[in-house]
Amino acid sequence: MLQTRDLTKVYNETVMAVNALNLTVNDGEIYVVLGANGAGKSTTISMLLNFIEPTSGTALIGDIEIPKFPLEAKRHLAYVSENVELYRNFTARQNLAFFAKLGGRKKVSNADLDATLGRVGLPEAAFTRRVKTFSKGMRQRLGIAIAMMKNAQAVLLDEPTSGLDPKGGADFLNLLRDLREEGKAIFMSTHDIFRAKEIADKIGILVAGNLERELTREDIAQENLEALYLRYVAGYEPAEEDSE
Amino acid sequence: MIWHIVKKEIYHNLTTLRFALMILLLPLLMIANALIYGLAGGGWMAENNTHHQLAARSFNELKASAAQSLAELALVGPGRISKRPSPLIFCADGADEVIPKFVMMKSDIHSSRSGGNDAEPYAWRFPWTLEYPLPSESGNSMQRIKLDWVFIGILMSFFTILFTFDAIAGERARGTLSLIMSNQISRGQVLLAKYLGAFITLMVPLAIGILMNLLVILLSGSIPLAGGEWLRILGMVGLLALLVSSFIFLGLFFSSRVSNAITGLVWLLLTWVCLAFAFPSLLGTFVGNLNPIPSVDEVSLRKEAQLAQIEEEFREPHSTRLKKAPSAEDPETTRRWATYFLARIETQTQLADAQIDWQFRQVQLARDLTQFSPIACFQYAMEGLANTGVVSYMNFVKHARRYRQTFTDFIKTEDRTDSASLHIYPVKEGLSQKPVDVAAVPQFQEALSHESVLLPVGLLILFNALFFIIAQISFLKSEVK
Repeated sequence: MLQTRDLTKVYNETVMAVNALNLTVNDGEIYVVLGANGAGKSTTISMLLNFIEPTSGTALIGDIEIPKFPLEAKRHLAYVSENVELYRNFTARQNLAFFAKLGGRKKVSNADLDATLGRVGLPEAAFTRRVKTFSKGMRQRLGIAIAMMKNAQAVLLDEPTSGLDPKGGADFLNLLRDLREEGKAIFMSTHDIFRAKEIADKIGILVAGNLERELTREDIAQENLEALYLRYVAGYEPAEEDSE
Repeated sequence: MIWHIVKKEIYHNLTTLRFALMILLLPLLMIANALIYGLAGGGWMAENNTHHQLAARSFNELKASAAQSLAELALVGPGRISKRPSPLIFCADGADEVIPKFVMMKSDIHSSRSGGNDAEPYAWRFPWTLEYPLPSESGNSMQRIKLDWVFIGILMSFFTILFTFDAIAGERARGTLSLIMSNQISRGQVLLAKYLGAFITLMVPLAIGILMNLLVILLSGSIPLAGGEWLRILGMVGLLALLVSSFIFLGLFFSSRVSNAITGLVWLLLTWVCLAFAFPSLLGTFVGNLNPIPSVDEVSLRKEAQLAQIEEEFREPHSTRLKKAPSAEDPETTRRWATYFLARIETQTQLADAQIDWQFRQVQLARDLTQFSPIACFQYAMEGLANTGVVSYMNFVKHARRYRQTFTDFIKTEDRTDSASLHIYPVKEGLSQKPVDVAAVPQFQEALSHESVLLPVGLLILFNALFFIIAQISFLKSEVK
């Protein structure tokens, strides 16, 4: 379980990036946070990974406080970033092997690597190809493979679907479903309300660092997410027919 | 954990064009260095043979003078004192070809007076003084760029920049830094791994180049190396490692500061150009203008004026103090000649010493000022270990001055043992006329001093510590994404 407790980040003592954020991502749950650029999505993920120190509040993975025990916490966290190019001169297998070892795997066989690469849908011919020949979709799959290989309790994804074509996006969501099936707590930031609606168990709408709304699966089914998004994120109240 | 990143770094570096360029260029340069210094123009061996021939000739002259009498030896002096050519010149050339390789401690044959006329009723010679030759002129500045280990070290610092400018900025741009940092590894460990990866990648080709260089030198037999020299070579490899290390930290510092690797490269290149060329040249010019050394002509004029004053005091037409010739039967006149000679010796010595001390002070000031650059520290330390360059000449001059005193003391001590002598130094007629055993005459000993190495090595270590700290702080404060 991933939790934030009054998690706050203020830059230069004036810019409120994240304001007393409280949220919980249970195991086997996908939490999607929506928000405009600068809403605090990436800052939240950066604090969860201890890339930056929170100004106040805390975050927990299980019962480990991330700011206090960052290295211990990172054992249980996997990360997929927006535009991961990886090592372009390395093959998919070499990239995966490197991050698997970094993630704490003592021995990684080619069979293990190939199984994971196959699981994320990379064609076998791509396993030994250099990543510089990969499309963005293939790199994202490899990014997910890296996260899977770590077998962490929680997976944090920072706008992973941006730039993916519809097929790539759909495949990506399937991979997330697989991770959910495995009982991972998944925290994903995105602008993509359609994919959020499709996959999320919970949706949080961040506006200027504040969690303005939190929707459960039932709320998502009942509410007009597009209208909510426009209202909170764009500050635009759609007409009745627009929201239909 | 660190080793995974180190291995990845090495593997990553091995697949780059810059590594291919370095692995080709370094051994080539090292072999070229061995061939140029070992074989071209007879190499070090020819220079060493010339040194030995000149030393032998000088010794024979000394032997001949000693065989004549102590008085002759006191007049003629020990002769030409040559600086032993350093066998490690291929490591640090130190622009030795423009630096004098000897000093003269010999009575100038041209300063003899023929005698036999009214004004000069007898023949005589001025006694020897220590004289410093002028530096050799080198017209072509390109000839001063020497393919020694120092040059290769400076080239290595350039390669180091090429290997580190994107070490962190590149990872950040690729998104791999955040992926690495999402694992159980601290920033300090990442920095250390980056450092080790770059260090090993750079040092391995350098070590291969050095081994090839030494192999060529050993197999060709062009420069015989003794135990002490091997130790100093080991020290120089350490200096190369320190230089590379300092630039790795500098590269990591800039790389962690910028979000774009190219910006980091531009900053690093600017810094490198300033540290390697711009600041040392500017400071050299500044020091030269700050306290200009009197020209040779100025010094000659001053010397002539002062000597003319002495001449006027002792000799015709205003003084008749030296009208008579010195002789063992006339101690009074002989003493007068001694006063005259000593006055000349003192003036000549003072002016010559002052002129060269002035030059040395200026060189020292320029060195002190330029030592804020790790490249300059590296160069000075290399020259110190190789016993080349201006500082080794300064050390040689220091020993020559000490020898001047030792030789003079020997003459005086030896003279005291002869009861027939008037003990009037440095007049030939006032000293012992007995021959001297040449084995008893003190010989010039050029002792190597590595004192000059301590400060630049200390500073180089300090630069490493400083650059490590700023790289560490900068990386700790930098954005991961």
